[in-house]
Amino acid sequence: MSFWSFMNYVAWVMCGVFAFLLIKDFIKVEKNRNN
Amino acid sequence: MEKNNNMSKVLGPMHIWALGVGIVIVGEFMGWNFAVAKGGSLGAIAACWIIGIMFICLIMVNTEMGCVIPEAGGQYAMAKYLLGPLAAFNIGLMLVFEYVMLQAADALVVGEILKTLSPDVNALPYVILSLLALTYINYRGVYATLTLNFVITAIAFVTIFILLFSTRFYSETESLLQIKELTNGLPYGWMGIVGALQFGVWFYLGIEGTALAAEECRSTSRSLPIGAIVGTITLLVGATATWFVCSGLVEAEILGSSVYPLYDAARKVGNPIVVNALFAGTILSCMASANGCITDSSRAWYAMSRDTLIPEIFGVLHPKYKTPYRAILFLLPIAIAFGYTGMLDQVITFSIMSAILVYILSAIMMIKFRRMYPIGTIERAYVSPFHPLPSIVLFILAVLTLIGMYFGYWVNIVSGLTFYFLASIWFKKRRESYIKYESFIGKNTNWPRAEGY
Repeated sequence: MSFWSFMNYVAWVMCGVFAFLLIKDFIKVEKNRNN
Repeated sequence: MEKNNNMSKVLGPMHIWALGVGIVIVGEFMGWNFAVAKGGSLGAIAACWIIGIMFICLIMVNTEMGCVIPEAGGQYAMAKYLLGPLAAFNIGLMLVFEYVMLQAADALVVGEILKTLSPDVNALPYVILSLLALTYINYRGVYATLTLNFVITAIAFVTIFILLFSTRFYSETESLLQIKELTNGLPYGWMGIVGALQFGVWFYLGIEGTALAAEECRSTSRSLPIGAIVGTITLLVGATATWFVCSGLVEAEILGSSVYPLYDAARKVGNPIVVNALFAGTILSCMASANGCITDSSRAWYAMSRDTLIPEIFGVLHPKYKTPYRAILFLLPIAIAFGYTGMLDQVITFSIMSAILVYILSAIMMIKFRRMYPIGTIERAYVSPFHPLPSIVLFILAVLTLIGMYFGYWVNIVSGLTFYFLASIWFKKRRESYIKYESFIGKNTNWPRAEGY
């Protein structure tokens, strides 16, 4: 596997991390708002 | 629905400059050079300056109205007081699409540039990663977002001058620039200049976005004029330097079809430091542009929702970060969807067309604004000189640019206008009855009664 093929996977993982952080905070805020 | 929370007032002139120039700077790294193919080298620089005049007029008009109406949404907020709900709805929608499409195009370009590094690079994860990372920064607060934009915009801007000085243009004997030998004048005559106008727009498109963050300025009457006017001057200098260095290094026929003209010019210099600087500059300019676009599109969407022109669900601020977090997240998948199509030229044409329509309506708004509130009837932090000349020049040049676009992209123009027409029908038939006028227009009830109304 070349360096850039590996980096493609790293980029997908980073996408997952940012999506998780956004969704996590969004759910927390919406729960507090409903309470 | 919570209504009593306000946006953070944390932005200064530096942030407004970063927002405006950040969105635009990508146009100096790519896109403008198609003006060389349409109008020749002289046609391109003529288009650059003619369109520069149009944007100076736009900034004068926007700044006067923006200082009086310091609300999120910029031209949308002006339209709701000056033109009414239907025009405000259309301008809001045009602003959202202008910035969301530009954001998608920026991310697409990041992917395309990275693909030049190796055939193993898959563009899609980088396109999505760019959008997600910038959305996350925007979600966490406008101050950090625009401070970051200031840094990356400044670096990208400096790389243009690194290239310029590396050519030793100041020395007659050592200069690498060959303006006389490589340029091709005006091969298509004056009509070529009209054809080139649509690509001259690339040097400045988005600077009007400064007005969208008016509500988040510490002092709108100070930050908005300084940030917008210094930003326009920055872009005029950058645009001229870009044309000068590219035309002096790259043959006009090649320059007219180049994907990354500044990067190609850097490769002609042959210095690896300059080449790497321009590579970084190109990527940073795309990131700065996408970052600013997320800020502006979300403010426009939030403002429309807060004013009940679209469902109120998006008109809410984050309790901690004071950002329009629902609007930011809602627009993310739309940008990703446009990015996923990979149709860069279609996406950008719709963005530019939406922007030009906003400029035309801005000229009309300014004339109406001065009629409703003549000088002396309302406090103005900035007074646009020579009224109504800037509005007339803005109107004529914007229409001329749209006509120039029509010759090359008539299907896109007709489709775009049909889209806004259908959206207007939806608004009149289905949405208008839900508008709560105390939310829509309730903020400025302390204004004096408009003359003649």
